[in-house]
Amino acid sequence: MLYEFQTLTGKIRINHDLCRSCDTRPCIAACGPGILALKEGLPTLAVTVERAAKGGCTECLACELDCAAMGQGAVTVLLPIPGLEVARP
Amino acid sequence: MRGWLAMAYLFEHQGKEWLRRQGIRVPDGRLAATPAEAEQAAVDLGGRVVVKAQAWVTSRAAYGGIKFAQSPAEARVAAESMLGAHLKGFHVSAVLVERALDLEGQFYMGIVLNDRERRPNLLFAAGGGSGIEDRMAAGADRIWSQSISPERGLTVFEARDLLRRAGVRGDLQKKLTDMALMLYRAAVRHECRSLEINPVGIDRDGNAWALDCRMAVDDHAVFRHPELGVEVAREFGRMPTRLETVAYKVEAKDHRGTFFFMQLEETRPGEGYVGFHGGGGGGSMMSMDALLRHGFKLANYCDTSGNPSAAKVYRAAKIILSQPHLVGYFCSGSGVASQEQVHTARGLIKAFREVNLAIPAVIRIGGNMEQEAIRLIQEQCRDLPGPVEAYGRDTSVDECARRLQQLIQARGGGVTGAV
Repeated sequence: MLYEFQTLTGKIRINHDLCRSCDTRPCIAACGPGILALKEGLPTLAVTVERAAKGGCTECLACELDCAAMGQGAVTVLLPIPGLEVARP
Repeated sequence: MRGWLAMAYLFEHQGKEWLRRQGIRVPDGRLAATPAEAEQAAVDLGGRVVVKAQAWVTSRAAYGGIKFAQSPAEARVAAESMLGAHLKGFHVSAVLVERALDLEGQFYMGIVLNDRERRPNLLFAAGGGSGIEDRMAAGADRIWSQSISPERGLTVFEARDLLRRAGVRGDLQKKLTDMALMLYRAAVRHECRSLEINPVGIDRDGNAWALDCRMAVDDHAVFRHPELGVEVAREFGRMPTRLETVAYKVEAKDHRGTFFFMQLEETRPGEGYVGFHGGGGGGSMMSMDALLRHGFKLANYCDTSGNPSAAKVYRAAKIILSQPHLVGYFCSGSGVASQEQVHTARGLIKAFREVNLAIPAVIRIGGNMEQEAIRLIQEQCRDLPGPVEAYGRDTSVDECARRLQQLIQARGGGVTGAV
């Protein structure tokens, strides 16, 4: 199951199916602003979605990178760059 | 006559439209993107026209960018000579075809912000037309200036006094006064750093016409003027590339830190182009000098500084890496940045991992939390096809450039003119 919430300029997507087999939960420890917390054993927002979208999530990317390095690769920070695909020579 | 602060330029045909709406006389004209369109425009305008390359450069006539045509066929030939050409380095993609006027005189008139006085000036010269900058520099033409109070605005008596001092009398003085007042209103309305008409043409009936227009809007005011259609408010001196346009929109939508991206050359294979990512202007210059000393060419200039978010650094890196034919990636700014370098590190790591970086990268990342930043880069990029090395404040920028050179050469890549 994909758990998603908006950030200031993008979106965070967490694959909770992968999280179920994670023992270390590095995303929680990595989250500097502390907006992620375990709920029923899965990483979820500890703040409102509105607050996360308005800068509560600082888009530091630590959750994604630490999950990739020490967890299950369940977190993706989606940061669109409009127009890049067509602008690429 | 340019100011030194950042300005967004409009093309002549765009600026003239705003002058026309302010009440200033502008000759009938058509924009043409092909010789056939130019020929048809000349037909529509009665045959005798002026064909003008649309380019943000001065002295167009001297460089073949303005030609008179006596017939539609001549207009077509003139357009053919301009379209697709480079005029003083500016690629010409459109020409303005205008009805030719019979003139009895011409002048220069402009509203230009005077940075020293911190107020606008009305400028006027009796000898307008192409090459006025050179003639004024040589002392051949005199320019008259009137300082304008920003609170009161340009008054009738100030404009008339300026014209009187320049020797303009009678009905012409009244008509040029009217033009000056309309020009001032247009400059204020669009927050121009400069708005110039060169030349102001006087026809046989004594009417004053704007025969050219150079309109430069303050970069920082562009967001208040969507009506101007300025997509990228950066002073490149040319049209922005597609990647520059993408980068500008990233900056426009994310206020955290700064992000500037500019392509310096069209990259070609085998010529040692490096994707450059700086942090802070001074440190970036020092870093680019080091790269040049080591025989590299710079594909771009990029600066992410002022404590940018990791997301912004990531987007910058992705845009830099979208340039073709790069032999390496070099990230280096000031020796000891005040910003938290773990954010820079994470932005780079995410970008490098997403593109599965295949070229060598050297990151000089001195500043707050630099050891943690270096550790992150070393640990999380070690499985990439391209080697990624990170260094802190104790490693000179020249050593980092040399290291990039060694990494590229170890993989069989060449660096032109390497020391």
